[in-house]
Amino acid sequence: MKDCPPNAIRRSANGEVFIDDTCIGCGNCQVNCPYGVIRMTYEAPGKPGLWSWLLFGAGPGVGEERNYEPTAAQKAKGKKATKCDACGSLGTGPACVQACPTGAAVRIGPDQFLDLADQRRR
Amino acid sequence: MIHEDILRFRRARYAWWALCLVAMSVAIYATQGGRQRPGGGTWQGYVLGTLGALLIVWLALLGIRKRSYRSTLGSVQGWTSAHVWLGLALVLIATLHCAGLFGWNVHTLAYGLMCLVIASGIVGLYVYLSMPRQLAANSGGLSRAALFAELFGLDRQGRELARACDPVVGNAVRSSIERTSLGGGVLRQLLAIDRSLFMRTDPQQAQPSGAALVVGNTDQRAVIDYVARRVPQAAKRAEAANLQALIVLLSRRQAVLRRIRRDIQLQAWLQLWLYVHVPLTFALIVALIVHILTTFMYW
Repeated sequence: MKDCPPNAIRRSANGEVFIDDTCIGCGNCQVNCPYGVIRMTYEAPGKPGLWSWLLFGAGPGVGEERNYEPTAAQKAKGKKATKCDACGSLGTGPACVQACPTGAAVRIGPDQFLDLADQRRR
Repeated sequence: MIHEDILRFRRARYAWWALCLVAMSVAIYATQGGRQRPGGGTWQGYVLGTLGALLIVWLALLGIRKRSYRSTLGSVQGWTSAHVWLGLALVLIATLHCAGLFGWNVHTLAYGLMCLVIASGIVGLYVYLSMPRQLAANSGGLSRAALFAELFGLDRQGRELARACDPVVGNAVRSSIERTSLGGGVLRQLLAIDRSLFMRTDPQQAQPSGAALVVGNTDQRAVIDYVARRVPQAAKRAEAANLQALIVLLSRRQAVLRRIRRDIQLQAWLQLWLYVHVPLTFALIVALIVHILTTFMYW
């Protein structure tokens, strides 16, 4: 965070680290990330609507398209730093938690995390 | 409790909903009688049929809801819980709707398809509730890629050790590594069938041509036994030590292969039921439309 020239990488009140749109793509954060979660990527392609994907196979559909080739415009913009920000901008919480049909993915606070670790140890 | 399974979601709220729906359907069914025998043609039959058809459409909508990642219309877990309980209730509602009248026609076809969809859903529910835990226990927190990396490391060590051994043993170990079989077709994945082989040369039962025999090596047991039988025949202490090291390594390899094979098997079961459940749902919707159209055509 200290090495970010535009101060684009910050921590929210809930503890999530997020990178905002002022990222200049220098790659310092990727090099210094101790967990290896920050990646330099081109802008993701737009998603089609569900029906056009389902019925006509339009666009990359659900998930990330394999061997995706960025367009010239995306290449001109260059790579930017990306990481999971727990969908902070959605307001509904992380989309993975929302989309998990069996409730296996849950978002817990640091205190609950310690309880869980304690339970596992017993 | 941090995790809440889909059956007990919000204190099994949707189990109570399903129970209420079933009680209501039974009450509606019980009002039938008099001159007209119970069946799909009475007003009660139409009410139950409409309820069943609406339920089928709503149950199928889970496929759309679970892909609408930004939707705030309840959580997918809640939808899945309701999908399971109301789907189970549907068996009774549809049976009350037709009042047990079956025949060789499109109406019974729709009923049969619905039963198959629900049965495959029950299988899916079982695998979703039981297998993730088994998967985690089997892999010990390692990804499949990590298990394969461990296997390739053991393969490399095995080849090196085999080079230092008698050529007969060396060939057997090398061939057992090269002819290890993992995965395969649907049945082989689901039943974890192991068709591994290895090449054996028995000095006592030498082939007339002098060629080695290709024999089965299920669970790597045959090659481990083969190497173990060579230990007492070792002429030098160093050779015996090499063979001992080889047995330890082959046993470690056997354990990793078991974990990978079990991982493939569990993943296959986790996916298989959806290949039945989803296409049959589409077939059911088509049969349901034909059932409704023909019912009104021959009113």
